[in-house]
This record gives sequence, structure tokens and C-alpha cells, in this order.
Amino acid sequence: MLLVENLVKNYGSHEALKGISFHVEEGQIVGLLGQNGAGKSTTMNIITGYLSATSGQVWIHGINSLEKPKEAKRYLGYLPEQPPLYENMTVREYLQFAGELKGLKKREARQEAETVMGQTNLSERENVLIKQLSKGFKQRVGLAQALVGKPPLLILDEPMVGLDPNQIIEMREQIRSLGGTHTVILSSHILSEIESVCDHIIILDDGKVKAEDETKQLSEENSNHKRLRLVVKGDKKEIHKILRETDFIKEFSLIGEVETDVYEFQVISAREEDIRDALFMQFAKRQMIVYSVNVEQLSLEEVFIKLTGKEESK
Amino acid sequence: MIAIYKRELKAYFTSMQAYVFLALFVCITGIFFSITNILYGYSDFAGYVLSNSFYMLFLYGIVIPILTMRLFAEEKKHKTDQLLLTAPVSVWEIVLGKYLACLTVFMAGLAVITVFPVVIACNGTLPIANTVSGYVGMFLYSACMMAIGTMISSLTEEPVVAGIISAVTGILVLFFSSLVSLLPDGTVPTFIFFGIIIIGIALLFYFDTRKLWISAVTLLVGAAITVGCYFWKTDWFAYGLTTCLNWISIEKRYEEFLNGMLNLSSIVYLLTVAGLCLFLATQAVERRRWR
Repeated sequence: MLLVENLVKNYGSHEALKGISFHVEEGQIVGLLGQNGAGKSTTMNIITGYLSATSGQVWIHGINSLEKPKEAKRYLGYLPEQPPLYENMTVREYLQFAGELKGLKKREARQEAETVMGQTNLSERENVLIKQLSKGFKQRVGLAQALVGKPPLLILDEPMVGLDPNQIIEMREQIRSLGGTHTVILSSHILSEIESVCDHIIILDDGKVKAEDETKQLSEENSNHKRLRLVVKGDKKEIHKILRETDFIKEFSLIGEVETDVYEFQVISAREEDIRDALFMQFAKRQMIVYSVNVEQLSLEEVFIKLTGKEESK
Repeated sequence: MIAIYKRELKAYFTSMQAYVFLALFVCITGIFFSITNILYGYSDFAGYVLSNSFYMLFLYGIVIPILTMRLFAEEKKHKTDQLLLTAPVSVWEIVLGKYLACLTVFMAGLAVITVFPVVIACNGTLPIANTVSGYVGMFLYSACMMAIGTMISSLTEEPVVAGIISAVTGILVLFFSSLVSLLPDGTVPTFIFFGIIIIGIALLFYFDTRKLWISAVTLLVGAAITVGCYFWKTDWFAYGLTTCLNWISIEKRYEEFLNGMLNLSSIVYLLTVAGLCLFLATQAVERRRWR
């Protein structure tokens, strides 16, 4: 659906994008993650044709958007960070205009406005002037505008920024419901939002793609086998003794007693390879029951910090 | 383009803009009509109202900038240009749609002030040919000024700034011939004039491309053409400066229409200037994508 090849964007002497490449499959919901200035909005603006690239190619639905921008734009809907709303228009008028702008005939645009208002729960406010709407509703109108004409590719730049918790939940639900029928690329600062909505993540840092994978895979790949969580049943002193005597354990600490005589430990391995089997056997030899021994999974936030060396807002 | 045209036209009438424009246009025309045609009894509407310097000063220094000031500046300010520039329409269609809407509102005003010559025709003898050519001239001259206003609006983010620059430009264009008459004539001033133009173009290329060699080549080619022209048409250089400036003056062309002359070259010239300004507006919008 979307192929971005070696995208470079210079603002004067500043290199905003340093050769970004990625591709997005049909029906995926992809999250673009990165700090301010990482290049998320610039990437989105280039894909949508709002900005030009210094070099590189963008293919939308097999069409080179730099060579045939008008054709390529037919396949995308865009919700910028600040929704582009004409505040003196009513919701219906605005959506009809967006439809006609996308090449729909007057009647089709009217029907399409009707459909997207239903999709985004705006029907009750169809005749309200946009300037009289709340931030959440304005964001919905922006999303509805992007949906007009049923574009297969939706680009949403920070769609949840500035919304209250309830509105965030609504917006999240709406975006999730779009997956399957649309390919969605969204950027966000809120890592938990990306984690809950997207099935694929691209991490940008300093104008480069730092990592790209499925959300779950990204956490697994970036977790190391050195940090383990061990839950074992038995005498606390005996468990401490076994852990101390085991040569492949570098250090350990008690997290707490999870049940009567069942203790949870954090264990740090001295070896690079997976020690879960060996650790299990250490306790099995002494006929102690190991309830679980797991590699500690990194959260998306931890993955982000690990990859970029910076902390992003939660 | 039609969608943009319709939205823009509606925006004029859902805001105060079109009403303020129409009220001022009709009111100012009415005042000058009352003074010259009714009070003094002159029957030539084009010759005494449309060509009146104060009338033109009001019209092109205040009224026309009101129409063009927000065309692009406001879109940029409210970031609604993102909707237009990411839609499957070309920048040229966007510029043309907006410009035509602006022109339509002006034509509405022009249609309303037709009532004044009709009043004269009903109560006296109206020089019809003069009036018709005056109206054609006013339409073309205003179309030119609106294209200039559209271009200025595409260069800034502040509608008020666009309005002020358009007003100043309107006044300068209006008094262009008078300003030209103040300039000294002769070979040296002509050389200096062309020199300034060539250096200006070279600097523009430098700031646009940041490539010194392009500016150097422009300077050399410009200098070569100027010197070549000097040897080829030495006589022309004696009056080259004023001849050249008077030729490009759009206000001089307008005068021809007010004097009852429907000159084809002037029609073509005014349309070309309008087209060029719209082209530059397109380039200014396009250029922002490359910033």
C-alpha cells in the first residue's frame, strides 16, 4: 500500500530526514513513534504531498507520488496535527466541500458526508458551525474529513493530542475500527496509545528509522535474556542458598512473597545464553517447585528508551 | 477547482468581507457620481468618475485589498492550506479557484454601479462608447490589481500585512507614471536602471538557490545583453528608462480605455500581467513545499 524509499529532507543546512525507508502493508495500523523533531510530521507531510522531499521516493498504491501527485493523493486521507477546519462552515458543509475537493460529484459528496458523519458520530451536530464545537468534536470532524471518499490509506498525525481521557478512548476505538478496511499510519507521543492501537511500529530517531516491527515482536526482540523473573515455592533461606551457589547467576533480589512460601525473585544471569532450563534444574534437583521462570519483557517505553537513549512522555 | 471557487465565494458572503467591499465600492462610486455627474452635470461617467484619481485611490488603495488580503494568508495562518494542498487538485487550480471567486465578487460590485450610467442615460446623453470601454478597462485593471493582491497574499501569513502591502502596491501602481516622470532620462540613468534590475535578479537567484555561479552567470549574461543593446540601438538608450517604464505601466493602459480606446495590445498586456501574477502566486505556494 505504501512504500517509502530513502527519503531525505533538508531544511536549509538541517537534515530533518536522513534516508528513511519503510513499507506498509494493506490493512495494517502502523504507529510512527519518535520524539519531537524525530521526523514524524515531516515524513507524513511528504507522504501526503504537503511537503516535497529533497530526495527519495514515495509510492502510494503503486503510484509514484512525486511524479503523479494528483493521482496518488486520491488514495489518501490526511488528518494533520491541527485539523484543517474552516470554522465558519457547518460540519455538513465542510465535509461536503472535502468530498467535492476530492473529486466527488455534488450528490456523491452529500451522501459521503452523511456516511462519515455516521461513522464518526457527528450526525447530531451536522448543522453546527465548526467554531462552536469542542476540541474533541473538531478532532472528529478532522477525522471525518480524512475518511471522506473512502481513501484506502489514512495518515493521522497525533490524532489524540489535546483530547481528554474519554475522548482519547473514543478516538482510539474509532481508529481501531478503521483497521482492516483502511491502512492507517498514525503518529503519537503517547506510547501506551500506540501500543494499544497499532499492530506495527516504526521508531524514528533523529531523522532515521531506528526500529521497525510488530508491536509485540519489538518488545520481545529488544528484551534480553539476562533479566529473569523467578517464582519458586520453598524455604526462603534455602532458595537464597541455591541462588547464591549457582555459578551462572550474577545477582538476584527478592521482590516479595506472592503467596505463603511462594517467593518472586529478579535474577540477573552471568551468561549471554538463555539460562531458564538450567535454573529450573537447579531447583528440581532439590525437589523444589518452580512456579514460573520468565524473561523480563520490556515495555514499549523501555524499548523506546533503549533504542533512542531518550525518554518519551508516557 | 469548482469546489474551491464555490467555497471561496460562499466564504466572502458568510463573512463581512463581501458586504464591506460592496458597501464601500457602491458608496464611494455614488459619492463621486453625485458630485461630478449630478452636482456639476457632467454626462461622461467613465471620464469623470472612473478616471478620478481620488476615486481610484480609494478603490485600489482600500477597497480591492479588502478582497484579496485573506485569500492565501488566512489559509496559511489557520493551516487550512493543508487540506487544499493534500487534496487531489493542482496548486494552479487552487489559485485560479480563489482568484475567480474574488473576481466574481468584484463583478457583482461592478454590476451594481452600472446603475449610475443608467441613471445618466435615462436623464441625459451618455457617451456609451466611452462608458463601455471605461468599464472594460476598469474590469481589466482591477483584474490585474486583484492578481497582484492574490500574489501578495500568497507570500505572507498575515492577512493584515497582505492588505497593507497590496494597498501600498495599488497606490504605487496608480502613480507609477507620475513617479516615472520624476526620473532623469539619458544613457547613464538607463544603464543604472538596467544594472539595478540585473543585480536584483542575480541576488534573487542567489537567495533562492544559494549557488553563486548561477548569480554570476545571470550578471554576466545581463551585462552582455545590456551592452549589446547599447551598441545595437544607441539612440534608444537616451530615452530608454522612461520609455521602458511607461510601457510597463498598467495605469497608462487603463487611461486608454477611459479615453474610449479599446486597444487589443492593452487588453492582451493587462491579461498577461494578471496571468503572470497568478503564475507567481502558484510558484509562491509551490515554493513553500520546498522550504
